[in-house]
Amino acid sequence: MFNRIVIAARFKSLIVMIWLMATAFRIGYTDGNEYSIKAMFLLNFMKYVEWPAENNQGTFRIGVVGDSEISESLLQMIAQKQGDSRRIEVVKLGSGNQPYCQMVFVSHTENSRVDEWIKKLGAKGVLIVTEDLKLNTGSAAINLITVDNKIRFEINQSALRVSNLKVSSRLTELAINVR
Amino acid sequence: MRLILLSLLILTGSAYVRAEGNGSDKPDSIPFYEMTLEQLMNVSVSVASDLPMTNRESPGIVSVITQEEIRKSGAHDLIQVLQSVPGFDFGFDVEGIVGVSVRGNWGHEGKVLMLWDGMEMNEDLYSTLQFGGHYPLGLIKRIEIIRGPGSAMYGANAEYAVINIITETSELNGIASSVSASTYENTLSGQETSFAIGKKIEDGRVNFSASIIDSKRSNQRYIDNFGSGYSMADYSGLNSTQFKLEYVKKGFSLTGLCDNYVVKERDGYEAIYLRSYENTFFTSKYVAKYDISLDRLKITPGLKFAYSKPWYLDSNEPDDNYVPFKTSLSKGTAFTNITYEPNAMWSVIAGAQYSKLQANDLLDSSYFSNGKKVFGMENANAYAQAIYKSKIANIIIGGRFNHNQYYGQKFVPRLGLTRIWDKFHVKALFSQAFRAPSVENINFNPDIKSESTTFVELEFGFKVTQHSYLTVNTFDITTKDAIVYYYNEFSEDDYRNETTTGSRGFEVEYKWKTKKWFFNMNYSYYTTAGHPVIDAYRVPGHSDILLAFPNHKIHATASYNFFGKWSVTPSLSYLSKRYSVITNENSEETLISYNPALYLNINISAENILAKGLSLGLACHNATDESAYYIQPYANNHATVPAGGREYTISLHYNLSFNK
Repeated sequence: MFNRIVIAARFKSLIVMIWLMATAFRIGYTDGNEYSIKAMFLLNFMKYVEWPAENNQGTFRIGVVGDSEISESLLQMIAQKQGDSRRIEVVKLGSGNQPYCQMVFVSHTENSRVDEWIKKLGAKGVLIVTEDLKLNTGSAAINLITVDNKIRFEINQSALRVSNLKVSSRLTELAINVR
Repeated sequence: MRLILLSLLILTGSAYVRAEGNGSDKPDSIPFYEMTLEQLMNVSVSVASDLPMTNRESPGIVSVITQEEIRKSGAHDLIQVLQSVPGFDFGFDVEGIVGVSVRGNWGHEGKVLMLWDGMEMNEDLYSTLQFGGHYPLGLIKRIEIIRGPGSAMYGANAEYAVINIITETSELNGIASSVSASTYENTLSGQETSFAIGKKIEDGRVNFSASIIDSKRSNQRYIDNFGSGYSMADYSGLNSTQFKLEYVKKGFSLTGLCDNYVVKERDGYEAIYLRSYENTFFTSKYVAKYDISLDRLKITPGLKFAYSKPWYLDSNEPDDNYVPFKTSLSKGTAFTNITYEPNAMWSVIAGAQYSKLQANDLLDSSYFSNGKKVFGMENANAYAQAIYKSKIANIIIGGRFNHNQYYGQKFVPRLGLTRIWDKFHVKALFSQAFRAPSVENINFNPDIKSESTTFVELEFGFKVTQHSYLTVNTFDITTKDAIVYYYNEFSEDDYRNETTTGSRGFEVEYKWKTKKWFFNMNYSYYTTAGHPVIDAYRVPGHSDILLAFPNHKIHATASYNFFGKWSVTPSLSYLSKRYSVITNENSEETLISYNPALYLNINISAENILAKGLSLGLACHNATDESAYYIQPYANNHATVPAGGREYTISLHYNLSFNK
């Protein structure tokens, strides 16, 4: 009798565990993940931002600062867009000398040091994109934020001017905050 | 009851499916890469994954441990951190020293390389690393471990693995400080204080770090194989002091490191000593280098200098079997490293270095095997590795050419293929590694030869969900002419080349991480099947296992974040049966087995508590007070050393960033 109770309890535990595992896997498994979408925002910004002619030739480099899944998402998106004529490279940026990148994405993991990164990497012809940063405390050109489970972005016009970049009016219309 | 349970499961499951369907605004018919900004702005996002996904393409079997994982684990010593790595374990050498093993193979002498902010930490006399109360955990930002050979890129000492430690100072612009204190149930077990300050300057940075560790190997009683013993709470002190200074300006960098490690020991080699002695490892290292960047080419020439006194024992006590040992070493190295990325398809790293080492015997009445008080060794090597990113796979080809003054030329190749298919990745790796004998290897046996190791590794990875990743790897290790330490019939250190040793097996690692949870679990297995077992490592009556290290090892860590600041992190480690051997005066062997053991650790931590940047940890290590051991992995009659029992630790970390 005791054995039957134990076996029944273990059987139920097993069912619960299997269901929980299956649920956990399904919760995580969705194509709408944050960094796939953010990666596409970055690729779209290429169309709406005008770089100075001298910075807008040859390979387009997107630098990524900090630990972020966006590098992998960008590589996947670029591979899927391989029909595009312009070559796009994704570069992991860290300490030491850095290659020139037309666009630099600073991960939220580096938000405490974002000004240091902007000072280090921001130059004429470099579009700095941050995430989850309060623009009034930073000097990035574009900041991605999540509002009601959707990605939105803010634009810092003065930072764009400093970087000698122009954005289309369509981009400023879509931004939720322009200053 | 079962029907009710099943009904509930079905109901909740279907409710979940409905919620998911309603919540998604994604226009399913359009792939992301074709969406405009307007369309993207209507897509709902799932929770971001913070799972580290790097290293999928790297040509090695790699484990990365972050500062967050270290702090949440509650570990206060590097041994505790590395025991969570698949295939890693620790054994006992002699004279109070604990060393590392990889995949069942004793890696203590010159087979595992440790880099501390790029500086080699292996001493130059025997090429060992010394673990326990040595390396300041409070300063570590990240540990990258290559669980396989690194000789082709890193040279000798990287035969079985590379432990690459990156500290807080590497990019610090502020202050990072850490204090921890631990206690066993009957005595204080240790305290660590570490401090780092870094300041960005124009086109560079300057930083300084310092640490002091004062701890005990154990609180248990050590008993030698002749029945004599002592309390390790009184005689197993471990003291470490470390300073590091770095200056970087416009590509030029100058780094200096001083490390002093003192082990209080009475265990000696076989029978215990009458009193305790201090076994000291002092080293000071300096590196100057300059980065020359030319578009896609970077050339880094540099110079290194090291002065050290490892295994330094000094005493005038007349009534003991203790033997003093005093040797100093000076080593100068000139090197050039090159990285070149001609295009997106190719990347090349290469380099060359020349080093000259001089050992000085500081005792009055002893000489090196050359009959002199001075022993010198020159070494030159060049390495290169090219990665070609083809559409089919990344192809890695490389190798190292080495010339040693006593052992001539040696070339070790490295070949690999890596490929990522969306959620899958695969790596196939073939490497050779080698080790030229160290100063004392040659000193004790002038006829000793180099040893070489061949590795074959295969890894499969699968991104199970956005938050979880599973990797499985297999390996086969064969070391020929293995350099093995033994304690000869004249009670002296000695070395010999054995024929062949090695292991094969597999490792499984699963990581799941979200913003609130993380769960890491790994299982590692090795066997000696298919490899001969040399006498020094043999377990009598068991042909598939090596002395000291278990065939099976499991480690699991779960962490849950609550109220934003607080985390609770339990972890479990399982070790299967282990063995040691005792040899009596008639050379008769007795086999001792150690039952499988389960170790439980619990840590509660809080971030940004009381002040921004201040974090607190409260940990209980070995919560069930399970017996733990450091076993000698070669049959040399040193008794097994008991590790500490249940231990409580409190730690405080404070980070302050400068505004400019």
